[in-house]
Amino acid sequence: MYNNAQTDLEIWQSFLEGNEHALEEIYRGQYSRLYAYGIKFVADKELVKDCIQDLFVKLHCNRKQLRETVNLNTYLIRALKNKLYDSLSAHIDMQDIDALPFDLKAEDSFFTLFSENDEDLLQKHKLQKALEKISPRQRESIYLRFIQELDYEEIGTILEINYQSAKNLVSRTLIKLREIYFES
Amino acid sequence: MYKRSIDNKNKKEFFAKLTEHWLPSIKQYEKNTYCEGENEVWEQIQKGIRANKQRKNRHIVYFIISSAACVLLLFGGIYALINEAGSNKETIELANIPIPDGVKDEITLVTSSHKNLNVEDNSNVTYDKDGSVTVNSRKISPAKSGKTKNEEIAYNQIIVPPGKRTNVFFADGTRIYVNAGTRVVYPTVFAKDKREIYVDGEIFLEVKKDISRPFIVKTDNMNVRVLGTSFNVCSYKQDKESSVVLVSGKVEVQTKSKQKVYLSPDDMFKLNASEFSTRKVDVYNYISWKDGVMKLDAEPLDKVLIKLSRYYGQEILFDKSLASMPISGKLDLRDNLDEVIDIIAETAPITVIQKYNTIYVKGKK
Repeated sequence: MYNNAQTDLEIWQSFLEGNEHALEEIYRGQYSRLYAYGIKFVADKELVKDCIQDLFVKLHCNRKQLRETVNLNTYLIRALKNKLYDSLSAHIDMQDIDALPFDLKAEDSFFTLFSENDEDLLQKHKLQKALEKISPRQRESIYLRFIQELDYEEIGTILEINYQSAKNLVSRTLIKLREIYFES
Repeated sequence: MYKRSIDNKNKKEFFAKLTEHWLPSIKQYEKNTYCEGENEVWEQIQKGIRANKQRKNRHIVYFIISSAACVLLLFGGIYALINEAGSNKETIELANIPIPDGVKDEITLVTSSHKNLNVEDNSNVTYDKDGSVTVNSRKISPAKSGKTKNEEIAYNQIIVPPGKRTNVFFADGTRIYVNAGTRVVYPTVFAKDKREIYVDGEIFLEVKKDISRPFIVKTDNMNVRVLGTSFNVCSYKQDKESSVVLVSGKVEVQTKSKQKVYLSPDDMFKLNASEFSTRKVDVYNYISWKDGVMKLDAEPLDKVLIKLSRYYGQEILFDKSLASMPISGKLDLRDNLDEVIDIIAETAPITVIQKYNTIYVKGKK
């Protein structure tokens, strides 16, 4: 959806070599997906932006110590998640990073904006209800798969599980969603 | 057999809706919504990178006071917060420093040696780096210590009764305007890693940037941590509602229930019990008191009268039915209270009666 893997890698290496514009290119390509992802964990928009900001300044400062090949899609998302966890866990008791919530609740404006008729609106509310009933980790997996359009390898990296587990997680979540959806 | 075919039909329907219908609109929505702030954040990143480069070049961390430092300050903030969580117990609770006896109608500066000094109204209290303080143009050195180094930190407090105001200039360059009916407690010399004060009442602060020492304003129901520069804190113990109004820079407010809110310029944060909200306001309405002016923009009458009562140190009684009447306009607080109230009465449907040093405000019949 956002970037082609080959060019991603080229930009990354150009950034490591000291090209000043490469970081901006990475940033512009990633900002909205990082922001969209971060806001699922914490409703505080400013905190998410601060963390993104921090992330990119650190990237620049630590440029010389960074790996030469990274998958930008997973690398930055994972870094943002860690950063959010660090700044949140200082205030809220959390056992580990998997205790972070993952909230897919859309604002009301979303429903009214994109719904053509009442039937449509009703179905979206049903889907929303179903999404609320599955676990944060399940929600995160299908969000990464269908909205951020990552592959199972990438989802696995972010959730720290292997390819097969990521695939199973997504497909089981879909079945569960469907069950809940048709129950109601 | 029958059940399976229903399942398959459901499955198909579900996936069809998901992929054809909802996903594109959700993606569109995400794209439209989360591009917000892209340019601003990028500017901050560039500032952060520049500040970092400068730091490397100079090898001196302490003197970066350029505006670019605000980014660093922010990180510093987050890290310091983490550190602080561990060290909380070691710090003496400023709020627990007792209010001394014998403080009445004058502005009183209580020094660490428990000497009470009267301060003239509208004058300045200025601290030097060594903890000595200048009051009414007289310099007072800190209590000479035959004390050991491990002795507890010395605290001062300034108590401003209703009807008076004062300014305190701290040694780090921070200035606070202290409004009427306010008590502020602070160490004579700030700690190396943070600058912490306690407030019961209202102050306006112009905080000097110091990336190595965050400035924290503690009140009974919240902590305001400064990542930037000037803001107003209003938190009277006897009031239900506390507020923070940010003029410039960035602050972080943490409520008693550990919820955290970041404010941007022009934000007003209100806290009532455990409920809080943030909205954009005309900041001058909330800080004009420091210039001797009260600017009101549909402010409820009860709040206006409580503020005036504090500011002038005179009791004002009013009909509860008038409490929510909106008052707008500009009041010159250099006028005396009678004149100010009369000005309100000219535009609002109220009658003012004065009896035995008390002002009664009633509705017009």
